[in-house]
Amino acid sequence: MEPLTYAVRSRWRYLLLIPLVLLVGGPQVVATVTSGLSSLLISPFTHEIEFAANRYEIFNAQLLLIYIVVALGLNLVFQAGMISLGHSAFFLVGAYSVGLLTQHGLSFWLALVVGLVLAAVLGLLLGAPAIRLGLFTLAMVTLGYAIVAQDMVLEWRGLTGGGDGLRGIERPAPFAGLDQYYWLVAVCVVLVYLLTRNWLRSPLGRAGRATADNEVAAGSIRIDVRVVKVRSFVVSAAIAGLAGGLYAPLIGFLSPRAFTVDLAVLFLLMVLLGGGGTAVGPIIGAVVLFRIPLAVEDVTGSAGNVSLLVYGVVLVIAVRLLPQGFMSGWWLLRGWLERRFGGRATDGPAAAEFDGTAFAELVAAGAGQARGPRLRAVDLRKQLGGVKAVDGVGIEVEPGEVHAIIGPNGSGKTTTLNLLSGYVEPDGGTFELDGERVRSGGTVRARHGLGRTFQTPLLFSSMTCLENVMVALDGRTGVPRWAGLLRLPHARAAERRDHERAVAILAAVGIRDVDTRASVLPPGRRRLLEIARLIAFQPRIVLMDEPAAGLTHAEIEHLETMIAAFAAAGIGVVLVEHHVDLVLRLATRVTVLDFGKVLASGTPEEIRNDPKVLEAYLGTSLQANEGDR
Amino acid sequence: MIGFLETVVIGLTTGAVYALIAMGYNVVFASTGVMNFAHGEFYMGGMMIGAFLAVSAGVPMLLALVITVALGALLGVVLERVAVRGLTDKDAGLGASGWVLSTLGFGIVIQAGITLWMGPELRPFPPLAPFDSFTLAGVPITYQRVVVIVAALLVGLLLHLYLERTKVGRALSAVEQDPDAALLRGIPVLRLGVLAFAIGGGLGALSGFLAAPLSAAVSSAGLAFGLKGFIAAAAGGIPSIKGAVIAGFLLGLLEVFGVALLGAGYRQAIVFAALLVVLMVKPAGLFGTGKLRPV
Repeated sequence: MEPLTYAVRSRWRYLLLIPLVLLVGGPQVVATVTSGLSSLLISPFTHEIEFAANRYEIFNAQLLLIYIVVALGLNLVFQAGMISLGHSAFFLVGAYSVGLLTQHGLSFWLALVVGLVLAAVLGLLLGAPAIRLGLFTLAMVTLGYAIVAQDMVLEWRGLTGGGDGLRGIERPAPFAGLDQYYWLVAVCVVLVYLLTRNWLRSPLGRAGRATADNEVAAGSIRIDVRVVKVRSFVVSAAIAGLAGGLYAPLIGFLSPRAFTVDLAVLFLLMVLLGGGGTAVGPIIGAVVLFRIPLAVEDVTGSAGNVSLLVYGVVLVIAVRLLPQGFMSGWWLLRGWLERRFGGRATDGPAAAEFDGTAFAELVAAGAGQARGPRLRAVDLRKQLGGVKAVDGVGIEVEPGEVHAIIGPNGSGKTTTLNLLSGYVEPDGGTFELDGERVRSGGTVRARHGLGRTFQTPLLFSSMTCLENVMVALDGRTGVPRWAGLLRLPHARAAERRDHERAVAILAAVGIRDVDTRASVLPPGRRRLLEIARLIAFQPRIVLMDEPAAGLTHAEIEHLETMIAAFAAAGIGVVLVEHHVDLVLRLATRVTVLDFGKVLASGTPEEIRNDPKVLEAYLGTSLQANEGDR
Repeated sequence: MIGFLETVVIGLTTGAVYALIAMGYNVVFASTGVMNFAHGEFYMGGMMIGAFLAVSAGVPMLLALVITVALGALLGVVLERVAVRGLTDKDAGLGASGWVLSTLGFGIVIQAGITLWMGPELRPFPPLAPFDSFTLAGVPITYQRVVVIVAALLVGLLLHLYLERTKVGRALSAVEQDPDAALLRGIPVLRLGVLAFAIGGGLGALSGFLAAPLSAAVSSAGLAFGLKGFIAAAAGGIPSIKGAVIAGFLLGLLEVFGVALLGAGYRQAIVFAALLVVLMVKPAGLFGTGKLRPV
């Protein structure tokens, strides 16, 4: 799939010159090509191919470009794991701002900016409260925005002209003619394309995709998913507002009937059909979905239900063929071409073996000179359902110490770990780092340097191994995110450095195929990737939930080296583990939980000889282990 | 000016329709994790096919009802096969949205197809119950309204018992929570998914058939009612059947009273504002459950 970084440059990028040349060719060229292509597609029915550059097609071409702008913006929302069916509302706000303000004597340019800002503000007001919702609830709430916006235009007749609409909106001075206006629209399309493409392939895009893939994992590497979502929503609302502002003078007449729910759905379909989250997908989706009704109209001579029927059938067929949109087809084809004709060098490192020394160096480099903080949790309590899952547990972890938590199944180990890392709100108890109280919340604790691995590795499954690691490096370079949008030199340099560091980290844990998608990794590799991401995160304290589960003997030995490397770098490690052998070898302190309470706490030696522990839990397994030796 | 009690009756009837539609979403979502974006068109299909059978073809009402529901169920099965199966891969990340497109597309096909077949005009629809009314506390109530309200409550009760109490129903919710684990336990995930779509489709058609006499049948009704049903489902907490019924009735009442107070232009604004308020307070909906342990 499409890489989420611009550190990798592809020679296929020259293909983009084709649409660029078309755009530069001017309105006649774009109109001729788009109308010609669709007439070519329906030529089996009409037996003629018509290249039209009349005013109607020139108008259509510009309307299409404006829709493309909206789709490109909406793509950012989808990429961050949200579905909005409300962008026709922001489009409407932009259009009516320009329509109304220019009629009251404001200059078009100022009105365009006002419309854009208004749409952004509205996006913030409407988006911020809604982003907490689930995928489909959000889709419905935003659909509500679209419907209500249209209703309000009808209702506030005095301001908007209501159902009669708003007439006589004029195009601004140097772009007064239809042919001239094209250039303004074309420039906006190119700018918005560049902006969104850079967004998708910079840290902004990686954070968005990580949020879409797994919000808990994103939070664990200090990505604030609310910020990511609101950011995407606001920017995309602003882009829709801009498009609306361009739309008003193109049509010259605004009516609420133009901003239907169907339009909002159309925008979303353009993104999804073309390939959500890809830079070019929305453009292709927009072209296809815009031309289908026109083409069907050409064949049947009537608009309406026939074209709607074809439209629906095409959607279903297209999704059946390419569930992830047209662009996924392109990436399949491209992958095949590259394999067939060779030549694609992998970004992966040369060696694929786990390298303990390199690992320790990377961990130490990430940890820096300062030792990690002291962790102190007192009297943690949590009731889950009717069960006291954790009942007054206290734990202290010194920098560089490995503190293991063991206990039978259901004794509250994972819940304790979730309380420590902030994923579960405690019913009582305190949590301190270096004597300072830190409130609950996964992202909050991650901000304080708490790194976490999970019982079942939580990866960003649609991202490659490389991207999984890079996303954790983001924000550590000190380069502001907007610099990536403009691809400023220092942002490019930082991106390349991060890319190299990610490859080095992956090599150290023993992952060579860095371009593999995380979803297809076998269990052992998943855990390695999660640990690689943890190093990139540069933790100051590490909390691991059963890291040895599902690993082979050799892998467990590697894991031991890794945990020791964290401790050596002055990082405290909290380890929940069933593998008692591993625990007794590694841990400096062991806390034994039973029924949510601390049964015993002490050095491995003390625990080994504690009669209570032997009786309650360790007894048989310890003796069995010793019998083995 | 309509009296208070009359408004209550209208609100409850409207709400019953919303509740019926909402349950259609929930029963599908509960067992497949798929939100059927074509569901509103099943409602519309129930209206139109019912109108065709009962009026144009002269089929007796009860038989027409049975045929309509059966066709709805059949269409649900087709939808599952054509637009859902194979498009719900959760590991694909963003790509898992394939079925969003295809269910939307399927809905468009139903709508356009039926409009081409039967035209865009309003169609008369005879009531299931005699078109009489009785008087309760001085308010005339048509029997059809009673039928709709009772049907919503009855369907709600049956679905609730089915999903909570029967083996199949519990298997359905197991599938929604973890399809892989359910499969390993020997639960026929695929067949249950098809069953859920059949129930959802039949339920959609039933709700249209019951609601049509109150408003007349029209091929453009799918979007608006599908939306209201979804709002009820979301406010009630997907996939809670209890939530769908209660939120459906509340939504109907709210809409009718809101329009009476503020005017018809604010109909949608009131509804969506209410939804937003509910979700701000409880993001998972009134009867939705959050997860106990996040990881």
